Amino acid sequence: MMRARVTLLLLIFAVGTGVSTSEAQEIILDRQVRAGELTLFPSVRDPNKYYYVADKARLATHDNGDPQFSFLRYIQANVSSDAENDEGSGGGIVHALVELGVTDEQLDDARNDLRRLNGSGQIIGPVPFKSGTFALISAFAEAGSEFTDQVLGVGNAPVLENEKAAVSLSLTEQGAKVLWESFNTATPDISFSFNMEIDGYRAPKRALIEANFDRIYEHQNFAAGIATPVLQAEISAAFDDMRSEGAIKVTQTGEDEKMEALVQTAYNRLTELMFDKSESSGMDLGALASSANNTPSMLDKASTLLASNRAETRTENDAIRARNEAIDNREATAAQSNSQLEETRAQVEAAEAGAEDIENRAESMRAIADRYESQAEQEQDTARAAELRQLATRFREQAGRYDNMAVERHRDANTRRGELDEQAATAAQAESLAENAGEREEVQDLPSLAIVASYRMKRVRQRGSFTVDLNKYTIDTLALRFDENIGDMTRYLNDEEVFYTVDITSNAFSQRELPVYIDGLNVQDFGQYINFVTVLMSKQHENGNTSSDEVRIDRNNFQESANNFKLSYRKVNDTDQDKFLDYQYRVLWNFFGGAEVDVDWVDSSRSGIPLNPPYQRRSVFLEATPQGLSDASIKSIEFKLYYQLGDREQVKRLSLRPGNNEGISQQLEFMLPESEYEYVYEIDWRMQDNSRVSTGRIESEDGTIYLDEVTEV
Amino acid sequence: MQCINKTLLLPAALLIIALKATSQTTPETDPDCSQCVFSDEEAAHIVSTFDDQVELSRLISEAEAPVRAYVEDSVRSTEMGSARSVRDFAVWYSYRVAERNAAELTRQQLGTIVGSGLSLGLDLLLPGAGVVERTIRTYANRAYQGILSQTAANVDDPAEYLQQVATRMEDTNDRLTNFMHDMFHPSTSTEDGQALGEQMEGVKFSYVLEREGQRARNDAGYRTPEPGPETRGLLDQLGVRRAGSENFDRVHFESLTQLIRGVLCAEINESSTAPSVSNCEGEPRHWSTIARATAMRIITTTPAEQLVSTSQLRNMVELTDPEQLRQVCNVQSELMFMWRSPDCQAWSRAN
Repeated sequence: MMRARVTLLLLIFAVGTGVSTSEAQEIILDRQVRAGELTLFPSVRDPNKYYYVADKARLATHDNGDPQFSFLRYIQANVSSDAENDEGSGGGIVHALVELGVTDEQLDDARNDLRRLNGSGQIIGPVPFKSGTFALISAFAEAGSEFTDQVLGVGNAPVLENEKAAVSLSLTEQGAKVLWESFNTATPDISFSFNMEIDGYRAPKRALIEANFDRIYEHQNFAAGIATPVLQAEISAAFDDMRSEGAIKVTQTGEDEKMEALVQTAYNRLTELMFDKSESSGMDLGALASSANNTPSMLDKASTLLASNRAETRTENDAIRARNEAIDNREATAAQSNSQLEETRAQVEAAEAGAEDIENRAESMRAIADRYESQAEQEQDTARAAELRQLATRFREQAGRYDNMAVERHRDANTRRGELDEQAATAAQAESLAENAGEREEVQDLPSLAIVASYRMKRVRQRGSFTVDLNKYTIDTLALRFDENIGDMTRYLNDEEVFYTVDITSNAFSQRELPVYIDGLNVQDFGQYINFVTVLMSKQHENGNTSSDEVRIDRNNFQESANNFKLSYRKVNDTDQDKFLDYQYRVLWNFFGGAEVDVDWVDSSRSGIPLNPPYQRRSVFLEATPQGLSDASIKSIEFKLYYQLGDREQVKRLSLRPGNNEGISQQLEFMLPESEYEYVYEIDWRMQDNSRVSTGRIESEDGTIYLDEVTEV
Repeated sequence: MQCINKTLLLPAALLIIALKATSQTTPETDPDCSQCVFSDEEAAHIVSTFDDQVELSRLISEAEAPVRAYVEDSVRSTEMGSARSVRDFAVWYSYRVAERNAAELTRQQLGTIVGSGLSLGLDLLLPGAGVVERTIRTYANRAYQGILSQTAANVDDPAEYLQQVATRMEDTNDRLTNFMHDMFHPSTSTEDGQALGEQMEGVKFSYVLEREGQRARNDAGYRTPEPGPETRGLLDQLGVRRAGSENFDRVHFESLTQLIRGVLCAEINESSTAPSVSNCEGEPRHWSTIARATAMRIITTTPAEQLVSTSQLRNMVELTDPEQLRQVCNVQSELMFMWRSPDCQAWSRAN
């Protein structure tokens, strides 16, 4: 079968505002290979070029070797608080910079190993991460209880340059307490669990994804609607239900595909269409830790799901181990039988070889004896002839001795040989049982990432049916999970750059620092969408004076400070402790092309300021099958997408010229205000006869546009 | 003497001997050669050397001393390996009793285990039915039984008892001297005695012929009285292994395995809760493998010096050295998973 190929002649133009589009990394996600300790993905353009995943996470360090990690904890001594989620009464903020990289040694090992797999293979560079989420998990035991895995925070992990990710999160009072106590134990079990996403293509598969959106939206997991964030695990569970009920169908016509991968592709695509990545972040404690309508909070749900998923995985792993052990046992029996058989065979062979050796010696002796006798025959001197005959007799006697020794060896060989048939039958039976015992399975890593990413249902509902033919290179996202155990940080417990406790009820608490973090943006978003963000802070003191502070965040200092900014104000005759915590802040977003969004002053007493951009990332899939393009006689396609950023219209334009048997699968990203999904697109088809067909400008909220459905408007 | 492909040897040798070839060829000497035979040149030389059978008799008679020394060293090496196995076994046994809070076996049981364990070890080392092997086995078994019966009388502590057994085993001189005399001058009144005498005569004859070959070639081997590779090969076929670390280690391992196996089997037999399928009669290979793995663990982790304390054993419960793990766990790979040690279970999962 001739496989469809990806549209490689994709031309991307940025016009009008100068905005560029993002393009999927041109790697084949489902043809990954393991070389040394690294995971490599081949290029879709050149099968000999590979990109590696920088999946070895470790805390970044300052020049002096100290970790780029800080844990700021707020306490209120001698004050009991029922308001657990009221940050003003306690809590904490954790910030960490994590390097996602590999060592030169690991890279060298991978290169060597790759040569074994593909003699012409070359490692070109790392696969860039598109985005990421994280969870901070602590295995913590409350007094008198077993250790439990507790999710202390979840959030986005902004991707910086040089394969670094900065994570920040606010902790509830309880979360801060758990984390603080965890760090004070001798062997703390605290880890960041990352779920980093990479874009790429799935290789063509003879499979079709079909979904009925109307039925999917009816699932109980989605009943809470757009107001409530849902975890990725909840979405997957709902999709599993819908697949069993037929609302989601993954049909494969070939026999060589792994259904699990097909299903994952289907789920990824449906998730992209139905949900936005939740704006709730590690710093948005209100959304994470609070609950409404007696529903569990995000952190509670995350902890419960984590515990349940891990229990499930542990149970499954136990079952896998039991199955592996059964296979192992059969192999052990076979090995035992074979080893016995080989031992006996070796004994037989050794005895026979020995017998043959000794028989040869006997023959040599006889030959010498013959020689003496021959000489005796020719000897004239009778005394000398008698001497020679006696010598011949001596050698013949030696030959006889050798014969007897050889007989002994033959007897040994025969004795052992008698045991061989039975041993061979036993070994064959054991071997057959071992061969039919099945394949050994890998135990699964304990899940954590699957539950970390949280989503919010799009306000725009997808309707009707949805179909994607996977028989072409299809754009997809792969989530890669890796963990970083923070390990023993006890030596930094007295280092105020790392661990710092602030008693906000103390008179010594004279200056308040407010960490500021941008949420949900990567360093690449600066320059593509955002020029800079300015945050103003104003503090009205009891005496009527006002203190202010300001920070301007752009691409350079976002990277340099690892998304870790601070504003501060001092105590100036402020006696009311509660009022001292109150302040105001204002955010000005300056977008690429000059558009600005000025968010009005916000009253707050929170210990950190999370900055959620007023514009959210949106995406639309462009799909066409090779057959569809061929049937419609399409030669090339010009696609334009118009959207509003501030008060300016932005345009993204794709020029697509698919070749024979090539399909189209692209994802275009753009930005829209938080509550808006509407965009405008225009398709111009150039047909094989050079005629042109245009849709004109069409308003849409659809998640997928089929480019092989030619419709003139 | 040359190392020659055996299948080509005989016709070639006969042919060349028949033609009385006298051409000089460069002899190849290979100390490890166990498949050596007379070359045409040497055969011709032997024929021309032994003009006088009296001279041949003299040389054969003189061959006894070096051949006897070689056999004596071999048997001594076997006894030393066995003694070392008893010493290691003593430490292992003490450790097992202490660690598992196991009921101590009676000294009589221990004596039986040591006796039968060493005997089984000898059976594995000398598995053949030949008269030389049988003679050595019989001698060694008698010697061990004698030592056990002498030692049992006055020692109460099992560990001390075992150490004394080992010490007595190491003191081999008198026993061996008498045995060697009997081996080279057996009574001809029995069939076995005649056969043994004949085989020893055959070995001496082989020694003389090889020496003459060495002398003819001006081979360096002629400068030492030790039997050359051909005679050593013949002795090996008869069950006399060359003395040295290889033989010592082999005896040490096989004997220690059997001693450990003896304790395991005794414990199972004593235990009323042991499942009926899990006994040494029903699953001999299984229990031997467990014992082999244990012996391997002891020997690979204390290769240079003998095991002297139970604390050493405590340290080897969880091996960390990858090569040691590989060796021990490879042996355990013949065991059902549940029977493997925790470190080898983890190793199996990882490999």
